[in-house]
Amino acid sequence: MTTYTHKKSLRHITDEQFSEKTTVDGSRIDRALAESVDHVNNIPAGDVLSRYTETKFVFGYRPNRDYDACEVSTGGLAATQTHYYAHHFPWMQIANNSYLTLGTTQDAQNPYVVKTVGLNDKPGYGYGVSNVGLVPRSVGGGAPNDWPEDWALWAAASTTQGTVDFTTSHGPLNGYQYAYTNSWNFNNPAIIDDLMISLAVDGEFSIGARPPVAGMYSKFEDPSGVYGTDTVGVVLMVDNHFSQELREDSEIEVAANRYDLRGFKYTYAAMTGIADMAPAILDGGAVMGQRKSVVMRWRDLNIPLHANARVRLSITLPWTKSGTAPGGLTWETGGAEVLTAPFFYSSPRGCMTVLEELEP
Amino acid sequence: MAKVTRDSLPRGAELLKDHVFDPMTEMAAALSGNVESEQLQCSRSTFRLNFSVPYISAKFFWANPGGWFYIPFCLPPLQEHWFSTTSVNSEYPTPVLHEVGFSFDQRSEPCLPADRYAKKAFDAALTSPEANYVSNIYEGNAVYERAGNVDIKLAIFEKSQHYFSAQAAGTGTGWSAVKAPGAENEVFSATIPAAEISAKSSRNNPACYPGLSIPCSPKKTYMFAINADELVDPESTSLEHTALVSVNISLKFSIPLVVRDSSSAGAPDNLQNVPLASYGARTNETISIVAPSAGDVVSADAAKGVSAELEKIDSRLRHKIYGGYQDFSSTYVGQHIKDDAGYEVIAVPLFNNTAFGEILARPCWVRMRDSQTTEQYNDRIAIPITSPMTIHHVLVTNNYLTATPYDSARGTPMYTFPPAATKVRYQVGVGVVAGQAADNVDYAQVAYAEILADSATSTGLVDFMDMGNLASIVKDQYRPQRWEQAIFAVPLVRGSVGGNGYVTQGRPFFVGEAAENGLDTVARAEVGNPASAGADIASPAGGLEQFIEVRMSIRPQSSVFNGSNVWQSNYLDWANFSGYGGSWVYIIGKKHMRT
Repeated sequence: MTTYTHKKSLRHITDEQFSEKTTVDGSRIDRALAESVDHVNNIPAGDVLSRYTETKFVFGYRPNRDYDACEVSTGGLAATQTHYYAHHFPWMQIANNSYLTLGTTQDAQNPYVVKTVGLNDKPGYGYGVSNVGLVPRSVGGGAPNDWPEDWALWAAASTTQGTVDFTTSHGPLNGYQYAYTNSWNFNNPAIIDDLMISLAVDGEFSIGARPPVAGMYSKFEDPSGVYGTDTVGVVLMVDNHFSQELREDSEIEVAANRYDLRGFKYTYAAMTGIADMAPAILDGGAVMGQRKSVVMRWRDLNIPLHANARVRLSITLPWTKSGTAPGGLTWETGGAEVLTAPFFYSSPRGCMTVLEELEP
Repeated sequence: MAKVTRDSLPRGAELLKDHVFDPMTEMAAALSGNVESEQLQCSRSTFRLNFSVPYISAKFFWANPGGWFYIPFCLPPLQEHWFSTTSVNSEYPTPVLHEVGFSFDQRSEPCLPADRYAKKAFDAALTSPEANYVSNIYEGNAVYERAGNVDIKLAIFEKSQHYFSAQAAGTGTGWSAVKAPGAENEVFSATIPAAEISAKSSRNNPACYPGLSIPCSPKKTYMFAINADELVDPESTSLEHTALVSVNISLKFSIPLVVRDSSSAGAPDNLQNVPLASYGARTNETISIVAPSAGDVVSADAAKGVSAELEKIDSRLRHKIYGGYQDFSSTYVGQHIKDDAGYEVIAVPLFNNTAFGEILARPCWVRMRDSQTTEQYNDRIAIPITSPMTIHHVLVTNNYLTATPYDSARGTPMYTFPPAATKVRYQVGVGVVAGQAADNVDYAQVAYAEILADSATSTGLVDFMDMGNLASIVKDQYRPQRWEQAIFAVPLVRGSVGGNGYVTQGRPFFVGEAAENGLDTVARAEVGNPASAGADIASPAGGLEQFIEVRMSIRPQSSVFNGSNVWQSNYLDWANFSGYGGSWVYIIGKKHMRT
């Protein structure tokens, strides 16, 4: 049982207090000095105002993309003339259902893995779609309007890979949103201080800039405003301690819904005459820097995390489609570019800054 | 200043003012900007090595059964604690590993995501690099039954460091082959059993292993390693290969607080880029104890009284003490803590999610290079500056891990191997940049190196290792690579004052936001001229930095493909320009206490 300790004074470092015309003896003075010196020699954490240091969680990558025809016949193998993105990892569909299962199916524990911000259509997770264009969800009515049915029909054709790919224009007209989800476990309480998400354009030929399409580096920069995405969804969730595995019950700490990327341009001005660093990343001979990139920053968040917090950060770049050509995941050879998923058009990177207390 | 000392009051002796006021004076002196780490109950700052790996394919463990996907790192002494002998000075701070975190994306289901090779046998046609741009409809799908089969083994290995204890790189063939040194010690190991990731509730993901107490030598190298052999489905009728996606590893260390870096008006260049308003020096609050004069009565409440003077100390602690920097790199008007800085490492991934996991010359380069005329492939990351730090060292890893094993069935047997000596240069740069939503954008170089990862005598080489992964060896010849991974130092820009480190480099480099109108932290000390080592220049970023930017460029020194995309035969077909998982840049220095 917790016992109550009576404090005889308002003093912080000792209980002893001395006043005129009150009794005093050496033992009290000695005790006062002993308690004070002990306190100053072992200052409690609560007496230190600046008792945090910060830690940076840096994540992200640059997607691969080929921008020109190639000839790679080696070792007697046939030349490959169709070029694709290798894979879409770490982006994965935000939905879980039988159509997105390999092998034995189960009832999905979480039909959607990103809560709310209007990225899906399940009650409790938030309605709506965070982008213009057709809704990438099951709308009923059978193929080709209904995405799962369409996919199932196509998959039944037993073509598992190759030139006919579900992600190209041969595939379904709609697709689920994809999310890039990172997670961390904080054993001790911590504070999220800062979150930065950048969608960077890295150079002349790097992303979506196959000549003669030069200039259209990224979906959010398409001057016609037709292709791809121009918004982003960012959700930072903490697992509910009593139902850790149900995303529907997760606590949302940061939610950016339908943020217009055009509002977060780093700079689109030509970087002429600036001091660059080495190694240079050039754009047609001029400094690239982060020109044409998007940098979103949420500062001074001051979000406390309880002990044993399980944090999940999901980024979703919604896709749209243009006319009958859907957003696909691949690049096809021998002609016009097949529009691809928006996360191939920029380098998704980020940094989460977390404050943690000093430790004994 | 050390801890406050005090003699107990002797019984029966005359009470002198010294008995009372000497300890008070010492306490006041401590709180006047001299509180050292040992006087704090929480005397250690924490730092984390956070590794983000977007994707590890089953193919890596198919090619390297029983092998390790690993990331090497080291935690070198700060510049002022640097000394070049093998021993470790016990007076200098030593990091202690307390916690290991590991997570990956399971789609929030008791499953694993299907690999891009799912439903396909790992045969020559599939695993040839030429097949690497063919996507797979099953990719990312939930595979429930495989989650119950995959144990994920984690380990941290330790080895002595080549810089302090010279070692030999891998060489030779067959019986005369000598592999580069591997691990000497295992300091941490854990297994996330399949049951913990396939459970319907309380899955151990993200996982955390707290309560560790593992001292790590500042002069050794460590490797965080992962094995998940069972990602490969050996059943030929199912072939439900799975993958680790969005892997995050977080190693939490603690280390005693140290005094922060500073310079002075007489020698501002001792700390590059430091605000001239303070030079990083502390301005201490002065707490004065006024003791009674000889012959005075020692009173309680009045001035010079026991209670009144003790109140000064009490009040300070009641209102809390502080150290470190405030916003925009400004210092406190009066601070109390002397040891207000902690060790910091920012781990930055580069080339970490390439199409094939690695960059091989003939299969990958033509699709990847950023320019047909100046053959190069770049990657970079920007890191927001949230509070000041001083950069002491920059390191970069060189990676030749591979998931593309020797293939003797080809017309000409093919093998993955590092590029021949002098054939590839790796350019690594760290800078600070001013400019988001601003009128001017300018970079200042912090560190830069052009690395030739050729041999044990390569400039800047800190360490190298070979954990004996199967695909790293040309099997029929038993021919090891020169190393699987290595760590190189990237020197800080050097002005008129030299610093300490693995290589000749400059003094620590201050990085922090700035403001005018009273704080006046825009004006900065000069920085080393990247174009002329030993010379000082004004920081091109002008003290306005908002981001740290890290860049890396792979620069083949001979043409790989010409402008018409024709293979030039200047490299082995499968010369490994960047190994599986890419490279890591470590920005190492001091961070500061903050609110």
